[in-house]
Amino acid sequence: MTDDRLVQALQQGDSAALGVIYARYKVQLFGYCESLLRDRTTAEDAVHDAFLALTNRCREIRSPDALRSWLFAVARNNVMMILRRNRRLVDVDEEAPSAEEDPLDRLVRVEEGEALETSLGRLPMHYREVLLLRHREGMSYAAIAVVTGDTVEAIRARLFKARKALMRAAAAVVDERKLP
Amino acid sequence: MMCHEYEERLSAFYDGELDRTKVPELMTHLAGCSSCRTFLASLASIQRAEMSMNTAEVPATLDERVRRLAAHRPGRPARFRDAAFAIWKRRFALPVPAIGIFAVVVLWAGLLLWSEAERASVTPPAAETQIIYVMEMPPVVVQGTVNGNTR
Repeated sequence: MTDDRLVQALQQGDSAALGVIYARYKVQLFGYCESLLRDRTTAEDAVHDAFLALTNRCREIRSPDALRSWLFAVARNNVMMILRRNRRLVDVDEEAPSAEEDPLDRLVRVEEGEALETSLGRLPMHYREVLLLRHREGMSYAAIAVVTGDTVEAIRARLFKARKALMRAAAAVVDERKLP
Repeated sequence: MMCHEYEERLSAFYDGELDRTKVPELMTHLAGCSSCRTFLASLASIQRAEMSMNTAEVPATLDERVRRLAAHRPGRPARFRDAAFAIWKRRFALPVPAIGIFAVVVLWAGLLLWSEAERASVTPPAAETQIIYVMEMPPVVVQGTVNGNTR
C-alpha cells in the first residue's frame, strides 16, 4: 500500500494504518534520531513523539505523498527540543576524542570496521544529518530541505562541505590506525 | 574555475542534482583532472560505506509504545496525559502556556472586582442617616369681609 493510501486510511480512522506506517519507517527514523542524539533512550522518545504527532495531527497532512518528509521533519523537531532540553547543543566540530577513552580500545573499534562511523561521529550534527538523509535514506535535495527547513541551495552546499569534512575525518582515523 | 568549485558541482552531479547545462563543462574538466576524478571516486566510496553500515536496532519498548498508540483511534488524542504533554511541548508562534496563565489571572482579578462591586451595591444605608423630604404646596387664597370690605 502506498503512503498516499495509508495516510488516507489513517485520516479515516483506520488504526491499522499507523502500524503499517510504523513498520515501514521505524528503522529509518530511529537510525536518524539515534545518529543525531547519539543516545538510544532519547532517540526512542523522539520517534515515539513523532508517531504520537502523526496520531493526533494526521488530518493536518495536506500532501499525503510527503509522509516520509513530514515524519522526518517532526522527528527532527523532537530531536532539537531534546537537545535544547539537555543543553547538549554543542558544536561537535571542535570535539576531540574523549580523554578517558583507551587508545587501544579505540584502535580495536576501528579495526572492527567502524572507521566510517567513527569519522561520522566527529562531524557536526548538521553535516551528519544531511549525509544520512542523502546516502542512507536516498532523499533528494528538495526532500532534505523540507525536513531541515532550509533551501535546496543551502542543502547542496552543506552536503558538499559534509563530504569534504568526512573525507578529512576518515583520513585522520586511518592515521590513528597506524599508531602503535 | 578552481578544482574546489568543480568538486562542489561534482557533489551535486553525483546526486543527480546538477543543472544539465553545466554537465558538459564538468565532463571536460574531469577528463583532464586526476584530483577531481579521485574526489568522484571518494563520493562513491562514501555511498558504499554508508549503505553497508549496520542499521539501527529498534528497541522493543518503542514497538510496544507505538502499538499502544495504534490501539487508539487515529485523529484523536491517544491518552490525555500524552496529548496534554504533546501540546505543552509543541512550539507555537506565541507562548501559549504563558498566555493561558495570564488569561486565568486576569479572569480571576475581574471576578474579584465584580464581586466587590456587587457587595457594595447591596449595602443598606447607615442608621443615623436622616432623610428630608421637601414638598412644594400650592398657594392658598383666603377670601372674607373685614369691616365691610371684601379682601
